[in-house]
Amino acid sequence: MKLLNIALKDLSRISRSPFGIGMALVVPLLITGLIYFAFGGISSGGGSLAPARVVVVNLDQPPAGSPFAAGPLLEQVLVGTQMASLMQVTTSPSEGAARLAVENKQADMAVVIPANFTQVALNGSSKASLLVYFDPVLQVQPKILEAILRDTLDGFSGTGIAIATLLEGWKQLGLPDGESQIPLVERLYVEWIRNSQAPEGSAIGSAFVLQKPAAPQTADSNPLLAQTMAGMMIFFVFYSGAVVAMNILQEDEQGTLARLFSTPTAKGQILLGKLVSVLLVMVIQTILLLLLSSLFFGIHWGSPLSLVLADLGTIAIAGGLGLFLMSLIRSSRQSGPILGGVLTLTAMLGGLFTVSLPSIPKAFQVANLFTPQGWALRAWKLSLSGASPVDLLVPFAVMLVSGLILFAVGLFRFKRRYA
Amino acid sequence: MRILELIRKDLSQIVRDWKSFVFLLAMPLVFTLFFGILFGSTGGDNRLAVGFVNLDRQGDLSLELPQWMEGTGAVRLVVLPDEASAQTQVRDGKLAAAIVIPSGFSQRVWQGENDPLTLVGDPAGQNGQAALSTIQSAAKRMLGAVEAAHLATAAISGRQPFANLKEEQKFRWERFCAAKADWQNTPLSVTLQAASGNAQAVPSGFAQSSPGIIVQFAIFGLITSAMLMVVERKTRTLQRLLTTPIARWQVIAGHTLAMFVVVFLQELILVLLGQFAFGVNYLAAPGGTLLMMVSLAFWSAGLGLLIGATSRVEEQVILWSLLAMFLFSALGGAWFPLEVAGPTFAQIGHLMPTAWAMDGFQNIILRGLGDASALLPAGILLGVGLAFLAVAVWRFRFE
Repeated sequence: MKLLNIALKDLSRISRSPFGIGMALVVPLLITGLIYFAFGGISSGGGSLAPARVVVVNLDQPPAGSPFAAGPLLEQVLVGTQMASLMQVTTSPSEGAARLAVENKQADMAVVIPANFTQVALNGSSKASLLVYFDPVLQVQPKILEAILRDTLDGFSGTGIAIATLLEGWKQLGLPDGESQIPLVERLYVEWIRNSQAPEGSAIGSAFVLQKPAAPQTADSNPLLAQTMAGMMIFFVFYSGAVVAMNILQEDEQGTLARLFSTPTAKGQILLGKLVSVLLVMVIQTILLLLLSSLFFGIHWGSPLSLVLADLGTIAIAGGLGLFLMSLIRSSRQSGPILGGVLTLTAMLGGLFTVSLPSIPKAFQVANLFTPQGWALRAWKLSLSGASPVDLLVPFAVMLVSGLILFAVGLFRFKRRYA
Repeated sequence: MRILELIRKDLSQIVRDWKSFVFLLAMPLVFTLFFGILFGSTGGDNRLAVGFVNLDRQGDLSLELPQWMEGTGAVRLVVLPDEASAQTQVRDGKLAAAIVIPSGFSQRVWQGENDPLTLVGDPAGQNGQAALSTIQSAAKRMLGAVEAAHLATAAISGRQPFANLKEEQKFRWERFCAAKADWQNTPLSVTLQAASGNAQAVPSGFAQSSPGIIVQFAIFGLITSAMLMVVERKTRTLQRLLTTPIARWQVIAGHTLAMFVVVFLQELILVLLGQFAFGVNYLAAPGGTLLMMVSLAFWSAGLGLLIGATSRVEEQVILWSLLAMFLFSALGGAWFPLEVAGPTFAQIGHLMPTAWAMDGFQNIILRGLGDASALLPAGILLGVGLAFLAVAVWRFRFE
């Protein structure tokens, strides 16, 4: 009973601290909210990147009398309504002016169509290259534009290749007048391209069927958002574990711990009471974060049993680590670097700050599992993906055992200090 | 002179505290290195992992397709036994996308039928979109070669029929191989050119992480400096200072300048490390870089004074500093380029002083623009910093 009273007293003190509430609840939700605001629409398919400002310079000079002009055709593709959400296209008569517009940040990219563009597209005897001149700060948009241009160029190149394939075969068999077949092959190949193109509003051509990845149980959650929230929750639960454990040091410095030790209550019971308050804070924090994130962001955390395993494992290892870290330091003044330094570094190595990045190096993914946060993240990711409780048993066991070991070592060190 | 004494006192308090080293230098360094390596080109295999499921095991085209796909240089194929494992691995983010070749695909395509290939992926995601686009492009090229072979065979067959089906198939395969050779050396191409000579020299990861971390930790470092003011107010040191000949404005100016010096020194160390350890070319425009450092430090000191003036206890300083850091850093593009965020976020982000700070640094290190390119961003930072200072002075309480 005394143990519970001590724990509840600590809990009530923490609940009255705006700072504690801010760090435990407001900050993780705020960061997740910011990520949601930045990428939520994009990752769920409901939004897009800001359209890029593109200047097109068409220097193409089609051969006189040629019915086909590749430059203007390409210009039409870029100006076309299908590209409106991706780019705002304007034209410029001079390459120098377009380059200057990019350099002066009046445009994001410039596309320069060379003078021999149609000629090369028609006979393929020489080479021509479209130039994309871009603001070097941009990392994604030039690649998107490059993909669009390559796709269009493949249409032009394909026609030339089909004609060359015909003429070579014709010549190989020693047949005369192969050129007479060119208009037919050209028409049929262009028809084939048209039939295989993606219909308006679709990213997939008729030669393909698109299947979105198999839907997990949490399909209606935004995965980017859910994983970011999991990362933030783990980071701040570990933070809370250490901060609450720090109360022992603060009470020691303020002299209230010595006064408590002078009462008939056993020292072990007092320390255990304080440790129970650490666990209670984390239980309340995670429950509130899970509820609030479901409410605000619509995150579905997985099946109840998987969720309980992930939560209990996280609390066990976060509480154990918090107590262990605090047992290593002598005064609360030293706690800053421990909280800021050690927890941030292990969180970083555990992958909490890069949880939503798509291509993480393999070595880094392995390094995740050398940190307590990495195991917690693994458990929450499994729960979010709709994994069964059986799948969570390994991370849960690792977290529980590690947590108990750290807890025991921390408790032993504190007991020895106050013996 | 009294102001200088006050600055010296604040600085000596900060320097004597070894925690300052952790927050002001060690952490920003580790973060710069970590994110620089993670986001940058580290020389590893940057190709997107794409699952390949071949249910048309005897088909000649299904054996051809991997060559066309890997020939793009953008994807790395991972052979999988079935569609279910492709679905799972794409869902779990292990693969950017996957392609499934249906049973009997080659035969049907050679017969001129459309037999759709199944693509597994999410076109809304950045990697999913890139992988799907690359797969489609490669497969379309191969199907284009098949079509070219079909058309050539049909045209010749109309003029001079083949002796038998085997002869026709042999000729068609040869035409396919000829078209494939042409596709490997297409006459039309796309060349990307960055609008700066500097861009080639700067590893992309550090070009974002180095200025980003400088901006972020210019705010984070305020915790230590702003805390001093709160401690002085709590311990009534500020009140006692008023009994000395020092004027009120001198006390405020002393604290503000101390914060300015701390942030400036932190920036200086991070800029020098960025230049010499990470290859970020801040010295391309030394005057512009110096101007950006001064204006960022001034803005940061204004914010620090505001936090110190409005906080009553140490915990509030930490909370306000962290909130300011998260909001200004994320919205201003210090964590990730605003280009990759949604349009509304990017528009709001561009209004942040931190976005101007990033812009000013990147004008120099990426765009290769001269000293003058720092004038506008620095002017905006100084203006906002002045506004923060005005509010802070108005709200400043000595007791």
